[in-house]
Amino acid sequence: MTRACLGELLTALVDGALSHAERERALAHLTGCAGCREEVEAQRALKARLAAIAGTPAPPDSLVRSLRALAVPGTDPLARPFGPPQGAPVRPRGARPGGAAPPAAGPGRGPLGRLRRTSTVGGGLVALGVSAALLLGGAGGAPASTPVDPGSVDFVVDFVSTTSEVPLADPVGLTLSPPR
Amino acid sequence: MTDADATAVRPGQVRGLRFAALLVGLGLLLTAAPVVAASPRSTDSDETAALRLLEDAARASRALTYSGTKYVAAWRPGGTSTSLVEVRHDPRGGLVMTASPTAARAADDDAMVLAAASLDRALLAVLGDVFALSIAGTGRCTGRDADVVEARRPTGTVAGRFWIDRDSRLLLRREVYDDAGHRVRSSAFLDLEMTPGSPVVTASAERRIGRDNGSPVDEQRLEQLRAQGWHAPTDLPGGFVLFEARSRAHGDDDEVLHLAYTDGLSTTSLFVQRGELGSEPPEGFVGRAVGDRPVWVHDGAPERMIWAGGERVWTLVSDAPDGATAAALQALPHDDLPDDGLRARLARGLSRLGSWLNPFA
Repeated sequence: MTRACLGELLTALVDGALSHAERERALAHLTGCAGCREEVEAQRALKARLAAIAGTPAPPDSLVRSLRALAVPGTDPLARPFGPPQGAPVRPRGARPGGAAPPAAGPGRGPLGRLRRTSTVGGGLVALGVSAALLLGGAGGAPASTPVDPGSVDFVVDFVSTTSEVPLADPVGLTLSPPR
Repeated sequence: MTDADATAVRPGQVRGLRFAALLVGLGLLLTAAPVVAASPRSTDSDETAALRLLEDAARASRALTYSGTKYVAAWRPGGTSTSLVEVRHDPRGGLVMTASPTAARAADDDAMVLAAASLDRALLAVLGDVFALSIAGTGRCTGRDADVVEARRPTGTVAGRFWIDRDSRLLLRREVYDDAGHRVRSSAFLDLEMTPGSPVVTASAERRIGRDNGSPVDEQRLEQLRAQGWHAPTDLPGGFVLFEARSRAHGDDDEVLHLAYTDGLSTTSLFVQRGELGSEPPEGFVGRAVGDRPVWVHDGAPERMIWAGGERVWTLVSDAPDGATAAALQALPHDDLPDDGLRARLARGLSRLGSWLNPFA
């Protein structure tokens, strides 16, 4: 069964936003629906990761120094996690192919390198954020939060009961068959 | 083959008989002799005589013991709904109606049982207040002579006609028309049997419809609800007046308010409850604009509509012509239907992400 089984009840369940009765009903459904169980687990995992990201403390300086010591002498992997490989040629702004690079502009350094790193990281985060938002936004939208299903047939039964009080009324409620 | 086998009615035969009965019923309704045209303006004496005839009919429908088969039809823009209804009534047991009865179905299974009710003269008076009544002529229905009472709108168009049995005063046939003169509802006896003194509603028919349809709301309580933000108009456009209010409790403090309106010919029920509308219509409902109001509609008879407005969710159930329901919608609080476009999904998702990253925000 697909996520449509529980719709937004599923995301509300992950958020802990359901009432006790709704939560009981949702959990009862999960016991028999593998698809919804997987969806709940996936959303809970995503939520846990996001919560971990938000709550990650800064690494202690000693750890940073130890990591730096593990790196190849002369390199700083922490400074260039997404930079080009060591020794790869980087063409500085204004330089022609094959031309000599200014000594001060090393690989991955300088304004262009920073701009590219920033663009890559920023673009990736934006794409990730939009994807996550669309996923979490769901196709079902907000669930109907009403005590009674507004489309309930019970309302028709009540209507028929009330109509019968009107003198000489039609038994129109009995023609509940869909239009042909 | 035994005698029992020979006399048993097979399901296929039952379907054939029902289909034939439906055709006969439709034919009778469509080919009935035209009614003598009445003057758009009826005199006071005409009105009084017509209203008295309708009172007699309403009284007879509650006092007589009878049984028969009724053809019930409703014409809507989305299609036609038809049904054969077995009707049995006695003054003590009330009214039992079984839609499309078959030989395979026990007598009172799936039946709607309406308790015997006394005639509400005030409701009958609504018919006379909203419409001009007159005796339009005579006609025949199920082999019986009938007086025909006509109800006309202030504009002069026919809104309804009643065929009343000249002998028993029982209502034999009834038709309702929209503003344009199109027939929107019709019901008529195809066969009718009077059995005075012989109860036709058995004690087993205990499943009374509406027995648990909430508690009555009196005028004082209604005023309190209005003060608390519930929109409960005393009337709706087209002469519909509030004739009953009920409340069905849910949980500790939730309730559904049922407001019932009639113009004497049609009935409109509004079910109002706190809450928000989901972005997906319930099963069987589709989004549609009625007038300029977007609502979720369930075609059929009665017609159902759902929308949100005034921090409430509304469900309208009505057998009134489309013009009357559209006018009612205009008079009630109304919000746009929930947006489930890309922007709405993004907004919901970003909101959830934000709440996860910072639950205290």
